[in-house]
Amino acid sequence: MSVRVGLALLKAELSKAWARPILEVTIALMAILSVASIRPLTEIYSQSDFSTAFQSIVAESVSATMTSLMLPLVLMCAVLMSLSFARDYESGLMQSLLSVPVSRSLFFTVKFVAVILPLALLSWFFSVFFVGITFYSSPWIVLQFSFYVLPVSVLALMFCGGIGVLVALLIKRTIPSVLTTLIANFFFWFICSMESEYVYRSFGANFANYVCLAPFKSSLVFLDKLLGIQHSVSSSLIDPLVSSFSVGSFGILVVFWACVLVVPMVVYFSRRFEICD
Amino acid sequence: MDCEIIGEFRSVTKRFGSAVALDGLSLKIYRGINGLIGPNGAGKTTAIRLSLGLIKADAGCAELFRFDCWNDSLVIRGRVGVLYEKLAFYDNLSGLEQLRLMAKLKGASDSVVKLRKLLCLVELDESVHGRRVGGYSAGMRQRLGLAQALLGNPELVILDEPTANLDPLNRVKILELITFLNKEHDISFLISSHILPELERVCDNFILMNKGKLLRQGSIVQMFEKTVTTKFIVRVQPVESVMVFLKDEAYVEDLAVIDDCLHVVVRDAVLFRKRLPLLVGQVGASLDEVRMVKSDLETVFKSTVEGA
Ligand SMILES: Nc1ncnc2c1ncn2[C@@H]1O[C@H](COP(=O)(O)OP(=O)(O)O)[C@@H](O)[C@H]1O
Ligand SMILES: [Mg+2]
Repeated sequence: MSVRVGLALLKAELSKAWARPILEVTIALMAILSVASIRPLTEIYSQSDFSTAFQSIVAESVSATMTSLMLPLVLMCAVLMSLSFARDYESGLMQSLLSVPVSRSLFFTVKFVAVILPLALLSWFFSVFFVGITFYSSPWIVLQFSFYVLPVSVLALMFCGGIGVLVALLIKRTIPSVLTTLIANFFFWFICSMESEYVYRSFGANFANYVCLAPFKSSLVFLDKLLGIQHSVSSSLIDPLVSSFSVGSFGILVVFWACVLVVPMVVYFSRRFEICD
Repeated sequence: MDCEIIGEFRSVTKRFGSAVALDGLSLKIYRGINGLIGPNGAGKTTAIRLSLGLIKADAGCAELFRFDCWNDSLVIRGRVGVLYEKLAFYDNLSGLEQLRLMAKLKGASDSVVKLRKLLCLVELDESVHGRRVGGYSAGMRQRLGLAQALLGNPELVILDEPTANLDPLNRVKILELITFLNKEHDISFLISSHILPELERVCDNFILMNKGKLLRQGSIVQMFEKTVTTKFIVRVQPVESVMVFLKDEAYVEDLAVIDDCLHVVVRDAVLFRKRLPLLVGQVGASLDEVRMVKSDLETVFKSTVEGA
């Protein structure tokens, strides 16, 4: 019964959140940014020490694809989630929908999934496609990658969407909450895209050490670790936390980041949140 | 009037920051048609939101069907249909699709044929059923909202300013529809409106509020009980002889003949209504029509709100 209700609502939410230009714009953004991150294979063959070079290229290429994909992903997620909650609140649609016997937690979940799921699928498609192009000679890596990347991107997007919801439910106005969320998410993405060596030089070893624990960065590190990729460049210099923590610890960290905002928001929304605009 | 109580507020208080939206509001919602009357900012919409569990009372107790409005709102929402002042739909869906979605959410398994019938009942023609809701006019949206509120056999339908976007002719039609639904399908209504003459015609029970407080509650007669004066237009033949008798009645404030009709201003409307037929009988005149002046609820409204 509630599954059927959820699906009907999901369908309507999907068609609203991804109406005409939004899906197209997202796809275009992701395509452009992931094309930009393809590495030519010739780099690999011209190296003498093949396996070390391969490792390093893999590391850079996977990270680069994911990092550049992450920008449109994170920004779209933030904008859409804020829009979805703040605009519905402002327009009165939330009020109408919560006046029929639909539980608030189901409503929240459906809205959340309607934004997260297509984004995760898009990121899965694009990253597998472009990592696949780069490493078609080693299908095992591509296969592993395609297996891990979907759940990891869902988890990463949950954090990002959590920020969107948090801001939307606090500010309750469409435009301000979209802007605030954009800034917040750009900040986290920026941390993630910073080169460790750069951080090391400008902020010191301590700080550089902790960068890998930041929300988006930790999911990239987790993905690298799942694939068994070592960053050859930076190992001597920094990142002792990256190497000393196990895959499992990073897994827990990623799940922690995914839940840290979403779970309290679900509880807040279904227990306390008041709709009175 | 059927006196079965289906909802009750007991000293409900709701603050928004420093603003007090509901200030110890107590009211009863009866089976039948209830009118919720108050000037802008009186707290009507707040009371409606509270009764559907969208907001939580700071103090006091609000119940519908003996269920707590906040804790058991899911049960209440299953038995109530609502039309808000602020109309919002999935604008990319067609009218029929929107209605079908809401029917699903309400757990009503209405067929498309039945849904189309419902749309026609609120006077949305077949031709617009397939059009995007985003392209609907304000009046059409209001009708769609009303259809939505009627989905799934609700026991109580709450309408917040239901005729705001309609022209006078269509207002009358909607009010006739409300009366019809109440009579034929035993659906109770709670209607908030500031257009008083309308409510005066259809409602059994009136709830008059201002600044978050209840001023008065009761039937139309009870509404007028404590008012200072009420104006009646009486069509009677012959006018003069009745007039002579009325002059001597203690409760009559003012008398005039305009266009062959007797315009009477009285202090006690109930007594007047009781006495008039007797007087007319004594004179042997024929009473054609007794009509309270249309704006009378408005007078009550004004004097009560201002007096409070
Ligand atoms: N979300 C809110 N935040 C602050 N004040 C509010 C809010 N909603 C309502 N109010 C205040 O509560 C009072 C009652 O509002 P409302 O219930 O909308 O009145 P009505 O529907 O009778 O016109 C108003 O004074 C309004 O300013
Ligand atoms: Mg209102």
